[in-house]
Amino acid sequence: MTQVIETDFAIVGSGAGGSVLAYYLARASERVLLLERGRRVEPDDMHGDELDSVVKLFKDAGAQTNLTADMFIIQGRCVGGSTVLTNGACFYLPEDCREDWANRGFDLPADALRRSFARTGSVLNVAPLDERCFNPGAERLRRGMQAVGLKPQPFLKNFAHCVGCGYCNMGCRYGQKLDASRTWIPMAEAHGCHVRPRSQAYRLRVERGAVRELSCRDLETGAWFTVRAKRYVLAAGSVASPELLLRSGIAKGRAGRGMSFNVGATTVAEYDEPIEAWRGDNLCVFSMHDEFTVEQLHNPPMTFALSMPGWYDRHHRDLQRYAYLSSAGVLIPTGNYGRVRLSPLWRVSRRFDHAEVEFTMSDDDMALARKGWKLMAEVFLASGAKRVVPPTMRYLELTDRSQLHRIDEALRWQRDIHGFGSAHPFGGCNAGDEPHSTCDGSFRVRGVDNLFVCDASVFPSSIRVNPQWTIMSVADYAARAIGDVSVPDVIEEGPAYELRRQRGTTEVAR
Amino acid sequence: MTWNQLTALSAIAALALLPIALLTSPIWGIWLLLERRGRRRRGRRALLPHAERTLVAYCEAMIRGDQVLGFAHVAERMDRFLSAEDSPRGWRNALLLTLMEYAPTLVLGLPFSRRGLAARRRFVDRHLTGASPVFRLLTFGKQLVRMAYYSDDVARQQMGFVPPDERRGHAPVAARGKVR
Repeated sequence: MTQVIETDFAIVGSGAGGSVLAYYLARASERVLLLERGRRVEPDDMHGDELDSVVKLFKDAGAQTNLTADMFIIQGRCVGGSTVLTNGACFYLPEDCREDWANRGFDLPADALRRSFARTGSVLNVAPLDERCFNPGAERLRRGMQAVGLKPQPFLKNFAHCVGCGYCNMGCRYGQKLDASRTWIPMAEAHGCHVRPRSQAYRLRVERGAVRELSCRDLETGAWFTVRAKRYVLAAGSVASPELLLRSGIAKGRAGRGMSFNVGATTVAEYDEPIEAWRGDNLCVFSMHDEFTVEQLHNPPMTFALSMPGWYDRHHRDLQRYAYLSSAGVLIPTGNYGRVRLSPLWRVSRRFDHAEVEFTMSDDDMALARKGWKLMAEVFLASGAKRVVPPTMRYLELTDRSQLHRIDEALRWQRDIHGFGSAHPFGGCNAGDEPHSTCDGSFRVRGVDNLFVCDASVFPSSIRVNPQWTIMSVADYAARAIGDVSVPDVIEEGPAYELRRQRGTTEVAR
Repeated sequence: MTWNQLTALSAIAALALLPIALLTSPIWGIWLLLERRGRRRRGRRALLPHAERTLVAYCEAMIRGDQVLGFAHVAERMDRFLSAEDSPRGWRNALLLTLMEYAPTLVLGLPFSRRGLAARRRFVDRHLTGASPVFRLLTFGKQLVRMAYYSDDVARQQMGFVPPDERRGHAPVAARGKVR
């Protein structure tokens, strides 16, 4: 007999959106069930083996791609979702994006959102990265940025005591990154929230304009179970949330549309002397450009090998110069023309039962990407690099500014980009009043009374910066609309609060 | 070419070849049985012997130089990766290696792993580095090889990388304060 779980709120996905919501609802004494497809992974389970971390923490073991297999889409699949994989970078939502969303019918009042950022920031311990954790490549890149007229700044991060190991993207094995699995989720559990890892939400059954039940599968035992809740919230990310709607036949013609990304690929530079950029945090300084964000990013060996262009012995030889290399990326915001849809054979076999992402960069976005990578190469050259390797499928080496035009020739199409991908997908269940909007301005799926979406899939457009803090703050704002709960002005619990108490201060760093 | 187009084309090709496949099914059946037995004998969970040969051959073509890691060891790591991968798309990675192995036979060549190093590289140069639409999916194979090779401790040491716990001046967490 199928197990039936009765609850007040069923939340699908334990990442940046779902975890915050689970906390506020559980705090208000609601019965909350938080479903997560991935495992619960503790810091002690991480041992510095990147391949092992990729299998444990990443969706599809890091191999999720778009339909044409020329773009990686990196997302988390573990308790805490993608927050476990971030570099800890925290950004406010750019004001022009907030205004753009308001014009599209998704209005987040500036004052209320500011309070949400303050509240979530206090839980995450958001503060500028301690310069003692900077990797040796950061200072060089900062000089390069200044030389070309950019204004470098240290990242705001959600760390406690950063060790500077450089493995942020593989989960923090020192437990110092205050991601959702270290903050919101244990805080929610302390208030009675039930977290169920390894549980796949499979299909929603809708009758008379309301969801009646959610069919789920326990991935450990293979057993099916049913969840009956007063309200259902999808917070599984920009691919899985629309996937669940599509599989359930909800919001037909709208769900899955309007997807956008922050896309990027890594540029590598070599210096004359060893800099050992792997000593320290791997994401230290950034600079906001009008159209994109330039970010220093130096990965540990395996990830670095994947992003390093080149073939055969040259690739291998380049990697033997790892100590002399430094890398950085540009976050390019794209238009919202991507789409999530179900594999055409999804009913035939479980092997085909998954979502597919259709996305190929438009000519305008491709031009913007070329502009970004040319600027990136210019920054590296200005920083004293002896050669720069841009992310081209056919190996390209630049030693002088006069060669920058070669990037235009080498990068005509998306398939020409080496290591192209995105860890920041947006939209798919867009909120607002546009024709393809799946949700209204209060996060409710149109035409279904008790179904809400609360993750980056509601974002009507790309926000061109790392989104975890924005997603959490939007979820903080959404808690009232979704749960009819009051949100406290100050949160006096959690590891960041304990840290401040230990230091004898109630001040939240900014 | 997209995965769906490839699936559709494969389905059409399979239908067209169905009579031949049925006639030769005893041969294929025995081949598959032998492959599975070979996998069991080698203690692998995901990689069939032909896929392992392809992976090793691809590794040799991609990384040959002063490699410090045996490619059989790389195959073992990849087997662990493929068998631990929890994804409805996981089968694609295994299929990728089969396609890689037998794609050269479409142009009447030897299977990938039976070719000499120079011929393998020519195949990669011609079809994979330029990312021609037909073989673009196979470029993904190089990522699998690199993941398995460069995540190993020995390969990382050769790159000059020092793991965090072995770095001079690395402060243990206890000294920095435990987060509760």
